[in-house]
Amino acid sequence: MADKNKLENFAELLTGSLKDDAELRLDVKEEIKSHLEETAEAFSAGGKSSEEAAELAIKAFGPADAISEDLLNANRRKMKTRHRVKLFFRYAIIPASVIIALLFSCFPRFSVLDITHNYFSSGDPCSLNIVHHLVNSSYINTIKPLKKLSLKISDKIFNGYYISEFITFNLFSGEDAIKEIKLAEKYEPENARYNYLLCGALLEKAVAIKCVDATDKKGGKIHEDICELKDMQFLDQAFEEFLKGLKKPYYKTYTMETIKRRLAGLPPSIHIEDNLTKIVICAGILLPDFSHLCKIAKAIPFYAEKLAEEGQKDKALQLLEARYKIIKDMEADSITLVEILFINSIAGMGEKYAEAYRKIGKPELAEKTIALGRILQDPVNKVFPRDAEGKRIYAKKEKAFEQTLRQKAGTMNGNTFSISASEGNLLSEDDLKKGCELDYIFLERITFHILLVTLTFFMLSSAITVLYFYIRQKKTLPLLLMPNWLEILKIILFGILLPTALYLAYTRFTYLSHRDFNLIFNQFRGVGEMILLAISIVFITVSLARKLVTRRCIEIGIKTKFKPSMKSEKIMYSMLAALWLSCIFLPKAWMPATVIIIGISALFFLVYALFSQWREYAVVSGAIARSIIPVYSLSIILLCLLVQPFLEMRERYLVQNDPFVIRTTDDKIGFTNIEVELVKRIKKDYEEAFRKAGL
Amino acid sequence: MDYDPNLTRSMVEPIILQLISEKYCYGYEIIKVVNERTKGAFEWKEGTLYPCLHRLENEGLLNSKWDIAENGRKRKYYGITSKGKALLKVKTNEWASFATAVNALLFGNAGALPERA
Repeated sequence: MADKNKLENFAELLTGSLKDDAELRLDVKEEIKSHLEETAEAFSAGGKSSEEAAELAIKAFGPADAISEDLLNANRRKMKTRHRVKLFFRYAIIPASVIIALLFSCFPRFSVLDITHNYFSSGDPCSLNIVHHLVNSSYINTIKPLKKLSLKISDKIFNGYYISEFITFNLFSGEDAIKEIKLAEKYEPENARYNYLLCGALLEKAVAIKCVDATDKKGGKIHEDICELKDMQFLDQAFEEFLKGLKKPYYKTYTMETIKRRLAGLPPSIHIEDNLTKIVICAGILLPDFSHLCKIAKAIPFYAEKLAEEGQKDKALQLLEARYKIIKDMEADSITLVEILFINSIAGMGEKYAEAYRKIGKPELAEKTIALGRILQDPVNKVFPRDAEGKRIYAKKEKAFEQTLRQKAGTMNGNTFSISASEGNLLSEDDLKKGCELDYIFLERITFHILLVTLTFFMLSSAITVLYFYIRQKKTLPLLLMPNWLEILKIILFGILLPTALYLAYTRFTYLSHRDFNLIFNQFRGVGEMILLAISIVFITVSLARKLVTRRCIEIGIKTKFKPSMKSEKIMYSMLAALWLSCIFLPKAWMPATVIIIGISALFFLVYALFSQWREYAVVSGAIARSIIPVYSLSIILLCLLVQPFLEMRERYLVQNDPFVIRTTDDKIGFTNIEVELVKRIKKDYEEAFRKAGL
Repeated sequence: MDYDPNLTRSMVEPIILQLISEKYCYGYEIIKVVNERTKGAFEWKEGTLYPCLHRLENEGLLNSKWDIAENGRKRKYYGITSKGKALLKVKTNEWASFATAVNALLFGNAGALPERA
């Protein structure tokens, strides 16, 4: 034992000149120690005592000072290079990777939303306040800037939008809103819209419309709206306004103009969310007028009956006839399918109006109003056929196409399948493929973000582990072992890129791992898979790094009980495989429970394995934690600089060439191309229906 | 016989490269082979070998890897790279040419003077 210590001390002395590079020093020391031991053994075999053998081995090796100096000279360049690499990682790569990862994962770029915020803060009057509302889901913040604005005498489009804002954010019946609507009417006296809106505002105070359960003629259960009088004076005032509106030459909400003005201010879409945001912007513009026109249409029969009771039959009949005027005005102003469907619902109120006619004593007009209502419902029924009881009829072809859409259309197309299925001829195979591609790129981007978050999280965890050992080892940092480039690439390839690529390939072959079209409504499975992917990546990278570090520890003489194939590691790999197999093969209903059971077991096992072997691996744990940080940081940089631009470029191309989503040109506007075509066709049918109905 | 160190110094590297080109070697083995082949004529101080090996490795002429021998001892083995092989070839030719020239001068075999490389 004494001779071994002597040899060890001599090797330590020889390598003292390399103290600036701990790993290199240990490596050289171990090499020289091994040589000295072999020489000493040879002397021992020749009959020398162990002490003498050690002395002779040391003598044969040569003068310590000169060799130490030579070793330093031979390794000086290598030490400098290694030192520079370490500094480069410590002060450039690692901080840069943290910053980049945080930037990419915490502030993903949603270009349109960003721009809308900028517009909002710039105070542009025809701005995108509405988007700001939608994004924040709160109107409170935006009332203040809205109040700073005021109606403009010459800008009818702005006034229309400005009033919509008041209505949208629940200020409809407030005195402020009434004041503003009256002012808007003053600026544009020929537009019936403001009178209708005033009527709607007053109706808020005049009647309460309640939905109650009722039975139809055949005894079936239906829902029915009934009006309850709150204030007769307001009711009279409301319909005075309405009658004033009826005399006006036109009804205009300036929807198309507002949408165009807003979309023109937006940059081209980059992400799928941008297209969705544009749809939300357009949808938001449509909503305000619906509720008040619906309320007016429902209150007319109620008020007409009251007027008849008071003997004002002519006025009552005039109001009941106004339903056709509302339908015609709205149709002329409509540009989207949702408006058309709303018009259709007013046309379907025939029974309520007929009842009012009968009460007034005009049964012939009752029959007529039902018949006209049916004619006015024809254009929509032609596209979405219904039976005599109003139930939707699905043709075989339509059902089959709906199934195709579920499986092949992608989220955007799939979520509007009720329109798409009825008009399958408007979608080509190529369109469907592009829809799927958008889903894939969305998933790839999410996966990219999950990867970044995972790598950053575990890089920071490793840093905390290093800090723990630094404190525990009395302010001595754990050993940093520098693997060569090939070994780093092996960890990145097998630990990060391969699992990710396999997962993405799996989702492609199984169309988003059997999630059908509605990716966004199937989040549980998606989140489960992402967590599993993150666990797999961390487990494989740490496992590979541990093998590497422990092997290196043995080489350079750090004592560790390394076993190349550990039982616990095999169990963990088996559990990971079981989790993935359950994800892939188990039916949807079983999947969550299985993943939870195996996942919790795996977690317990991992914690047990860590704690039971913590002491055994304590020596190398610090080295693993410190040595894996550069691997994670390099992976982050590679992902952000190589993968992210590629993903971004591809998504931009796909989004901007998406054949399905909203297109706005001079002659058409709508949420989807299919809708634009459909609305065009229905509006043409309305011309025929109005002619047939004699309107 | 003790040689003048100046005489052997310039040939240490080609000798190491040659031995390693024959097979993967570790430091102790190289010393052993040199002693066997020269019958102890070269009495290298063993310690001088390692700075030389490290220099050759850092210049990309050798590569190394740790391995565990059958007797359980850890050893660092060295192998020659293609760059090392190329240099060895140059050095071997250089030596052959030089030795012939020196022989001709020292032993009077003028007719066997080599052509200059």
